[in-house]
Amino acid sequence: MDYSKVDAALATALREVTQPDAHVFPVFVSISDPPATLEPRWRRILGVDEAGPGPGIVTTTVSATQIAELSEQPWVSAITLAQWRRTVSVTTS
Amino acid sequence: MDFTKLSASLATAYDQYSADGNLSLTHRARTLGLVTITETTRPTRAVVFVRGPLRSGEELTRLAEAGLELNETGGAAEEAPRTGIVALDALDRISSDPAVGQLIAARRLRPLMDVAPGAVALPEFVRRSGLTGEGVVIGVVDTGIDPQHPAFTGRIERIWDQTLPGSGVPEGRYGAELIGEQIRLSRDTDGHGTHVAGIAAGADATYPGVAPGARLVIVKTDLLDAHIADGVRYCVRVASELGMPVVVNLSLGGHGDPHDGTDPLSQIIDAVSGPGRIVVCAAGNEGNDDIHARTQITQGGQRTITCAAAGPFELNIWYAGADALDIAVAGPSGESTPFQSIITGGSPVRQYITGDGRIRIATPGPDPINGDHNALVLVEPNSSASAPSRLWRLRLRGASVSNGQVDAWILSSPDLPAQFTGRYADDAYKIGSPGAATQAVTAAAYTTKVSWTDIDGAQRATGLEPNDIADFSSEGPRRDEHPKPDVAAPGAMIASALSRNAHLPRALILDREHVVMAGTSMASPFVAGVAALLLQRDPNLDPDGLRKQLRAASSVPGAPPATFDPKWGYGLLSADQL
Repeated sequence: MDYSKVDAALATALREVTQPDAHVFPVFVSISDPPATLEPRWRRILGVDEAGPGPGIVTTTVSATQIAELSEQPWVSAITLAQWRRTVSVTTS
Repeated sequence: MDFTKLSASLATAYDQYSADGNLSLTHRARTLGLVTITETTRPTRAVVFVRGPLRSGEELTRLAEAGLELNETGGAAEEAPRTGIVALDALDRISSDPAVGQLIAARRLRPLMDVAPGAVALPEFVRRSGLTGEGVVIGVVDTGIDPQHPAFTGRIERIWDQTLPGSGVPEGRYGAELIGEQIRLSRDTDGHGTHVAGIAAGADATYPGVAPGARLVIVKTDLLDAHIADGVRYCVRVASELGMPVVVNLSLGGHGDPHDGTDPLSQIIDAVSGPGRIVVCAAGNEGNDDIHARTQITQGGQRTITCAAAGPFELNIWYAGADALDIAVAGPSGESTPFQSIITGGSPVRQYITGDGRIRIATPGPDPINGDHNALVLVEPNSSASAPSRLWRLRLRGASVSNGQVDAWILSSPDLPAQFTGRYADDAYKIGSPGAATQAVTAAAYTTKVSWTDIDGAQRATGLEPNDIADFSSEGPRRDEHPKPDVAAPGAMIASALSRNAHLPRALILDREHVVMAGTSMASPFVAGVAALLLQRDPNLDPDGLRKQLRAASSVPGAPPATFDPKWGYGLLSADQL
């Protein structure tokens, strides 16, 4: 695991993991330098087609094991845990 | 006369009528449902709500003979108030009748969305320009929509319901996409999204939306920011397939981000924005809440920031990447964790169990996206702790400091709120993602209406100051001093579409199709609607161009043109200057 690519919230969540292969982490994966061809396994994990991801941000839901693997990939620059938002109505939120 | 059965407004109207006759009632007819006050051939009458018990036909006949004409119930429950009309001369006899529990004067309702547009001169702009939003898509990523509400008839292109099981859409393989007749299957059980969509685009005779000619693409989101981002991309793609420009509204917020527009959701908003592609966001509603603290720390110096918490809370701390701070947390008993330095080898998270609770502190190296340091503190107080107070202390020590500025945001459950207290609580920098996105147009809320009459005829009011910036509207600027919010628009109290599947407080409901709400959630779709009008005029309008137009048409009261204010942004929009 390359913790330098993982945000503080995800690092904190990873510490609580009991099932490392459970797909329980919705994340943003920042891709800075995508390879010309991406292995089918990575495409499946990232939910992208054969054209692969361009530079940018992909959303996906992955396991702790996959986060560790993704963090070691040179084309991944950051992995950020998704967070819950609230509607911003004073009267209903 | 049994005055205990008369509402205050009806009692005073009767009093005036008894004392002065019709003349002094003339002005009251503007607010009460008084009729025939200028006719001499018929007695002055008042439209009223009547509470029973009204059960037997005999009672109804007796009341009719006395001068109370009751309307049909329309199938409503017996105990529900009935509407009717009563001669003021007959009030004495009718109020004394045992079948009548209460008589409430009906009030003339002013369409609140009629008040709101007027406050920003929108009707003049619409009249002059003829713009309706036709040929423009408004994307609403929210809690869904009531597809059967008449304000949206025939104008919803697609709904991506992220909460339903299904194979999803290209932007995310989850949820279900509803097209054509399937759209009728969708539900908005929260009601927020329907209200928001109504403000932006409702075609409603009573409470018209800003851009009633626009097409709608709806994402019913589960409120996870990654899925909100997918929803934004979905709206943009669908609009592109329809060959139309698009404005996406996000009446959503949070404070788990760096408040500088570098979080992934903000980055995705920036990436999709461009000519003909606009995103409008709410500033947030923390104007009255001390959720932000700022302090300056020196090399070797220490600072203590105090937090008052009723339950679990989280501290989201940001400081310059060149600095290094040690962080500790002390509980209500005074027991503290040790100082934790930056940890770059392995997991940066440590857990501490103290007599006050469980504390986790994350102190990683610089954030991989913006290069600043982000420390995270999660506190779970012992539920059985017999602590003398609920005050927690964040302790900071400057290990290596060149910049020294530290910002912290406190996150908690609305049911168990937590806030900063003491000298470092700072009433600014409270606009988080997605309102912090650089390309987004971010809306603050202005109060145009503070009272209304609910569906039961009761007069309701808020403590908000009318014709002023709403006190709940979150202050900017961003942590990096980038000006946010951009513009202020009507956000309280706003009447718009009511979802039939939402269970909202009756005090907010005006009638079967409309409800009042407040928040920057309401200001955002107002601006989104204005953006749709301007996109109809110029389909290639980009965020910078829109911001430029909005700023030129806005002003902060009492300030020179183009003044930025952390609460108002560039001020209240005046649409007649667009």
